Amino acid sequence: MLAIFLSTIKDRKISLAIYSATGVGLLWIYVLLFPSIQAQAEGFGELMKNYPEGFLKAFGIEDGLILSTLEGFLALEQFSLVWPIIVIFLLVSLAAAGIAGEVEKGTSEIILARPVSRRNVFVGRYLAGAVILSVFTVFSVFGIVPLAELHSIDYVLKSYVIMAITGFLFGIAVFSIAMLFSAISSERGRVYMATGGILIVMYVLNLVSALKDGLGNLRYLSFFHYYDPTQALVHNSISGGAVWVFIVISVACAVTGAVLFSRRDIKTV
Amino acid sequence: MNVIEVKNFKKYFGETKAVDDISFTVEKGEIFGYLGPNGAGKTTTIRCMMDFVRASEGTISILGKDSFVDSVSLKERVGYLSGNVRLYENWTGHEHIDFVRKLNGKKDIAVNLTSMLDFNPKIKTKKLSTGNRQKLGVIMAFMLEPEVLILDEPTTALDPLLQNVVYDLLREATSNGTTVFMSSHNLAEVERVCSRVGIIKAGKMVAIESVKSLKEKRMYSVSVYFHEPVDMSVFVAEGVSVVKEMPLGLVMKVAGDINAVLKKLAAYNVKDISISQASLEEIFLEFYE
Repeated sequence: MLAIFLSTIKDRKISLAIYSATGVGLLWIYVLLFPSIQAQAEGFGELMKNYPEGFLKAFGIEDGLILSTLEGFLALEQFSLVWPIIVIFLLVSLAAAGIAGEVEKGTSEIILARPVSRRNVFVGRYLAGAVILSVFTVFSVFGIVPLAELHSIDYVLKSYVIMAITGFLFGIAVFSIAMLFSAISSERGRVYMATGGILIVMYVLNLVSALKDGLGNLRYLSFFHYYDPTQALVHNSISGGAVWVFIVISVACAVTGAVLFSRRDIKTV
Repeated sequence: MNVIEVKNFKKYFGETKAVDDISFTVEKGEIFGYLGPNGAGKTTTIRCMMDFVRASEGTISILGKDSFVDSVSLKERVGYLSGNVRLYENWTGHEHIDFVRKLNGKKDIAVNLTSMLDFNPKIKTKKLSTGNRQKLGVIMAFMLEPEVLILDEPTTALDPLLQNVVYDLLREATSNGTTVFMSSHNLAEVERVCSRVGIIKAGKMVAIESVKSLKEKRMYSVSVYFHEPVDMSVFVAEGVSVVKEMPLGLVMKVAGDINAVLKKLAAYNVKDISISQASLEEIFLEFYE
């Protein structure tokens, strides 16, 4: 299992470095933009008051626009949409390549012909994904600390710790769903389609639930309801419900994926 | 002692019967050839032996262990070569060998094999020719000196010189007690290295025979041209059929010993003759249809 874990990390080190550098680069852009945004925060706040409440709710601006702090600005600009999209791309491609991609290319035979159980193959890939997500999260969230110091901008470290936890839990849940599909598929494309489809449906459900009062409960079916960067960065908290949902989904998908992978036929496409 | 024991093995993919109730055994130190046309079920059998796919019914045991239940411990003692060697494109040969070494965690002879096969392990596999990819597959299969070798068309894409190296490797392995199960399309190869063969057709085992008896089933296509007209019917006999008649010649299909036909031909004034060995496919069609 260690050999599989290490080979996955080794194979992904360049893409991880690129994704992490992108995360840090985006933070840097926002840090450079922040002073001018902060100066106009009041004006933006007034402007937002003219928008319908449902519209603001749909885009996670329930408590008014908080652009006077770096955390509020990043919650809105970076972590509400851009960061989850990067994480989804990083992890779904990793999961798809890890099992379905190996079956598709036929390289799964190199591993499966050796004395390694399929469960360990799955766990090795899964742990590698978790470590890759952790590294990306550290760089793309805590990268703000040296950048804020460099540009003499105030920041609240605790907010980023909670944001990192929120982001990691969201990421690992997405990765677990993708690993489940990867475990039962023989083509990477199917993993992209299935996981992407589910995430798009979740995003739409969250949007619809905010816009239409009668459909409010639909938000509980969406990861984007539980993933709340404003709550993490501005209010320094994460709901217990969100933690449980992400953990339960992750464990359920990972265990199911490992079991199904152990039982299936490996037919090279 | 039976090292490989396949009992009433069936594999269905949905409605399709890929392998339908086959049974056979392979003894210790034996090289067992597994023959059959494309789509006959050879690779499915091999993939079930390796636990890549699971049997619908029946059992496969190797070294006394169930290929499904004891799959992990069994693979410490089994070497496998795919019929279509797939590699990590961004890895070098050395990285592949090292990966296999780490997964097995025991001493190996990869260095010897690399030099025997004249393989350069420093090149990324995406830059390797088909033959060199096959060499790497052979190294990964043989490097841990397994007790059982399961090989799916092991010499595909290798030139004749390297084929000989692989045959030498097989002989050396069997002399050390290794049992070999190999599929092949190549009758010459099977004749050369195998002691027994199983012939599978449309998922069913149609024959399990020694190579000696398979040789007796040999078929030839004989084209003869004479200087003068000849009564072609004199050549028709048991195992000999005239496929095509021409004004001064004929094409015959000869099954089994060709000497009787040659003796008859010797009585005539032959202008030209060509004798070609029938393909394995033709032998299958002739004897097992």
